[in-house]
Amino acid sequence: MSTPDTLLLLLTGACFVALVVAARLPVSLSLAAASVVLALAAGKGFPLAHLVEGMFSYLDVSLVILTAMVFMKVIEANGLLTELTQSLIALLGRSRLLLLVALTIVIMFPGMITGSCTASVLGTGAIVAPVLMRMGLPRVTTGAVISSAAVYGMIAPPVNVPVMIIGGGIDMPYVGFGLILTVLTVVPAILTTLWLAWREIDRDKLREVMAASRADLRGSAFCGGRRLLLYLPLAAVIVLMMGPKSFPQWFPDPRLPLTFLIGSLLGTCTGRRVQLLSAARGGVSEILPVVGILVGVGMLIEMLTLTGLRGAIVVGSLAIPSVFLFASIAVILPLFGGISVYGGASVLGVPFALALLGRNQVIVLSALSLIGAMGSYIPPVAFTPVVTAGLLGEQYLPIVRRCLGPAVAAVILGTIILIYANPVARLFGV
Amino acid sequence: MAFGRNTIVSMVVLAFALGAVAAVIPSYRAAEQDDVIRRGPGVTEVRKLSTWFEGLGGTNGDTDVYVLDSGKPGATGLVLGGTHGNEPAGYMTAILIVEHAVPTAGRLLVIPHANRSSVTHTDYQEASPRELEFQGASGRRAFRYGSRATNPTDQWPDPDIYVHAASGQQLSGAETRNLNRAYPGRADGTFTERVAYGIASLVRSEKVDFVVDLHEASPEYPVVNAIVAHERAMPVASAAVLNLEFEDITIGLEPSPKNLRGLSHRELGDATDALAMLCETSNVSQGRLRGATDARQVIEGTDDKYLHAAGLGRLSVPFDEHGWPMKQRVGRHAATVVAILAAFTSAHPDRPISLSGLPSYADLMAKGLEPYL
Repeated sequence: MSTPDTLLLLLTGACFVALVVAARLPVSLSLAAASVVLALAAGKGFPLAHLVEGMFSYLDVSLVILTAMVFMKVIEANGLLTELTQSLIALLGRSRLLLLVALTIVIMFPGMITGSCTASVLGTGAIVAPVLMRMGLPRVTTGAVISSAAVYGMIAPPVNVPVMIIGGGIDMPYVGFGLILTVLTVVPAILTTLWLAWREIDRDKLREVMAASRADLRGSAFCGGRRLLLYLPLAAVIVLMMGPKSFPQWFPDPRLPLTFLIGSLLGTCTGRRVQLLSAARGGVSEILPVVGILVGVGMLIEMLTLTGLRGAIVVGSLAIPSVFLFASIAVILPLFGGISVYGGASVLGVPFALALLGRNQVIVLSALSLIGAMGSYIPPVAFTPVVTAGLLGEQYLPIVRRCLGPAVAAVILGTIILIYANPVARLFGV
Repeated sequence: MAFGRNTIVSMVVLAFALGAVAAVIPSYRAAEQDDVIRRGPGVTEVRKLSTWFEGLGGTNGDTDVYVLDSGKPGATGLVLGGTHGNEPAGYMTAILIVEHAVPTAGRLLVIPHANRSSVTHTDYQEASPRELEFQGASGRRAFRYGSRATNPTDQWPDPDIYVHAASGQQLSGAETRNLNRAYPGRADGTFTERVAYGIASLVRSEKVDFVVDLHEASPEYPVVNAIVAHERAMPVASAAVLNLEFEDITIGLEPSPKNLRGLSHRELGDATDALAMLCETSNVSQGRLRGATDARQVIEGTDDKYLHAAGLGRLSVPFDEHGWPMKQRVGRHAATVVAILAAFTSAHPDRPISLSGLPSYADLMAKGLEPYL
């Protein structure tokens, strides 16, 4: 990178850190202020139209987060969440291994079918969290388990948006990724959960909790038809999420925000009585800081592009000697994910894929998505831990620290697969 | 009633955000005004795309179709510009044809803004300029710079994944608003699919013999400065490449991939009788490696970051301090259209098609685009 570019980058970073640490401004406002400082320092004035355009970058994601949070508040208030937690423990509590494996897959599921880690965290993650905590897991470990499974869910088949984005940039159809992505996501996700949670589950407590859950279920106010009715909102959400993916030619896609709103409305008619407005206010209030961060990130990326810093970062990455190319991918791709994983796939993933054209592209894109996804843990945005922390009422940095070891292992795995892409391709028959 | 510090900060931030949004609304609304495109001496009729598919009537998908009819029997060709609103050499070439070309045999249909909706907005996080300004021979001319995709105000929200209707192929959700992933389109589909359907209907109804879809790509993209041709169009495209070589214009020839669906060169070639081709020039303002983004970069085609990347051997095209200026990109596209017309006429002497009045590649390189605007 040239000296002016480096100075601009340092100035932006220093401004952001100073505002967060010294001035104790929220991350969202600090990102917005750093964006304005960058534009002014680069001689672009106060580019209002571009700042506003950047603000709207993540409108769709924000709507998903907000409506999912309202849904969670509704099913928490109407009794479904408690009922579901007890049922899961009663059903799977006999075996630690079975329970942890099953819960990992359950957390991953919404991300697998939507390509969104938010859907995993705020969908099934919110349901699994109380189960994990009742089994004796501390709040931070619970958050780490949910975050890691959600990140792997985001890049697990059938929908891996980073691969689709990189593929779109090099005219490569999203075909043939199923097996390799399954291996690269489900296996590490399960191993990560076991590594994080195995030792912290108290087997005696698990047995007690299982017995208590069974007793609670027997004495539950919801039995027979009422219990079935209680599950209706969740069933509706699952059907509305899976239907369009399973039968895209004839099942209309209501999209996630409407899906969660329908689930919320159904939740007010089943189970205990719920004040929808109060649940909505509670949910929005808890998750608003995350939405604010997304607005700030959008502004910052727009300013990085306007000032040419985005290009400087990409060209700087490609300028690293080819012998260090794999090391630079392993470092820079996750770092850019600290601003946006999807943005990293588009801005850096495509040039890196082009730089590796001699290797099997199915394997290369799968490995790049694995490496890039680990950027979900990187501050300042650390999107998945931040959303999880918002859900659990916990600080996000301890969750990040717990996830760091497995994330580094995943980056090393992805890098090895990149290096040996062609032999791996032969192994998997792609 | 007393307000806490957080409430006051929240209200100030909210007021600022609302004020900022309100301040930029006029510039967004201005992008809804169509560019001024003058009827040149060869234009015999201007129709709307809804002529061929009524479902587009009254929508932003109902774009102008310029008819340049020689009155003499011959072939019918279709030139598409503006499939992607952020690839300006495509629509600037189409505008040049509309304003200057005179048909001497056959009939040429020209759509400068195939996806009219795509020039009514710009892409998030791309910091694109809103307008490209030229000091033309007739005074100031301004043309909108847009997005690769349909405006979300015309089609929203995007699905998680886009499933191409005809093949079931899956792409990322944002591609659902990409016209060049929507062919052959559906009458009852999304806005973008309906635009694609309208264009496919035109091709069928007017018995179009060949389609030339004008695009641009970033310098690092593998298929750039090239013609991509459907297998039936390969003989004509090959002859056009040879014709261009005589003008010292080096251009690649790529077969249309059979497994990449929804693109004009694949679907119009498969679903209609037309020979389908797509042309790419090299545009730095689309690339991920580019430096500071502005209208100058789009028009002059120079960029310090791409110069650095060229030195690293990371680009698919030669790149020096002269870059790839608009005049050169439009010159290449215009010469390619003329070469394709000549190649088609050679291959089908019973159905000739030709134009006069269009500035040559050499003219554009020597004088620039401005004298022709």
